[in-house]
Amino acid sequence: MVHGHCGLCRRNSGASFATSAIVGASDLSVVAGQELIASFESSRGYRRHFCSRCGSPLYGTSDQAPQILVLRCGTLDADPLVRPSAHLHVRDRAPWIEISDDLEKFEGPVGPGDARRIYFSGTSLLGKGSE
Amino acid sequence: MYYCHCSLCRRSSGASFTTTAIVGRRDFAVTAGQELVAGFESSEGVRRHFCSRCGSPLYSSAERSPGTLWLQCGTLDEDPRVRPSFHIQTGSRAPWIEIADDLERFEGTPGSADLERLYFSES
Repeated sequence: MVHGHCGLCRRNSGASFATSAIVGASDLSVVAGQELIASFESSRGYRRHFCSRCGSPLYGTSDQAPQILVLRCGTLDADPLVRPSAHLHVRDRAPWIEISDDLEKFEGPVGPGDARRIYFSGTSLLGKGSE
Repeated sequence: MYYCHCSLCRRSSGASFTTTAIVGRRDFAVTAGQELVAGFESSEGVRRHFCSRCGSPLYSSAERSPGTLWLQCGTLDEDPRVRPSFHIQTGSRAPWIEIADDLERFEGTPGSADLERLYFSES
């Protein structure tokens, strides 16, 4: 779970930053309203899926990594029992945002060497990794 | 400009909370793409307007306050040169959010006595 401050995430959420969790594509199922989910390609090979009725951003998918989804955590009804582990794209943060927590910060995206650690470790409240 | 932590704002943005500025309707104009702006009634008399092509939340309007729009600040290209001055609906905040700043906080909606002071005397 990470906070993303890039300009695309800010625009797409209308918020100061987006909060997203990586989930396995096979671990998420849409149980109702699939026909209402629209999408657009926000950058090459990356699609953002949203509710066509209310605009709510739901998740992103990537051609490069079809086995995962990037879930918009604000849409969750229940506590996911994971916590954010990092801020990404902080150089693009909104001018009114001062980051005062002690989470790890990346000026841009997470590099491949850090991705597994950032996305999948150390933030679960379940007593084990959230992988 | 303020942060709202209510569950409707969280769902509508997909984010941890929304950042909203109150603007006069006469001070706001859609200069392109009006035909792509959709809306839905998220609570009685309140409409949330969003881009039908990409879902981005744009602004809200309320029947009881037709001269006002509530602008979703993440959509702004440039620094609006105002800064958030308070949090509302902190009782509904996402379980992973700890508010560490020293802005004024309201567990729910500010009372009418606070609203004018908060909305129109901010940094």
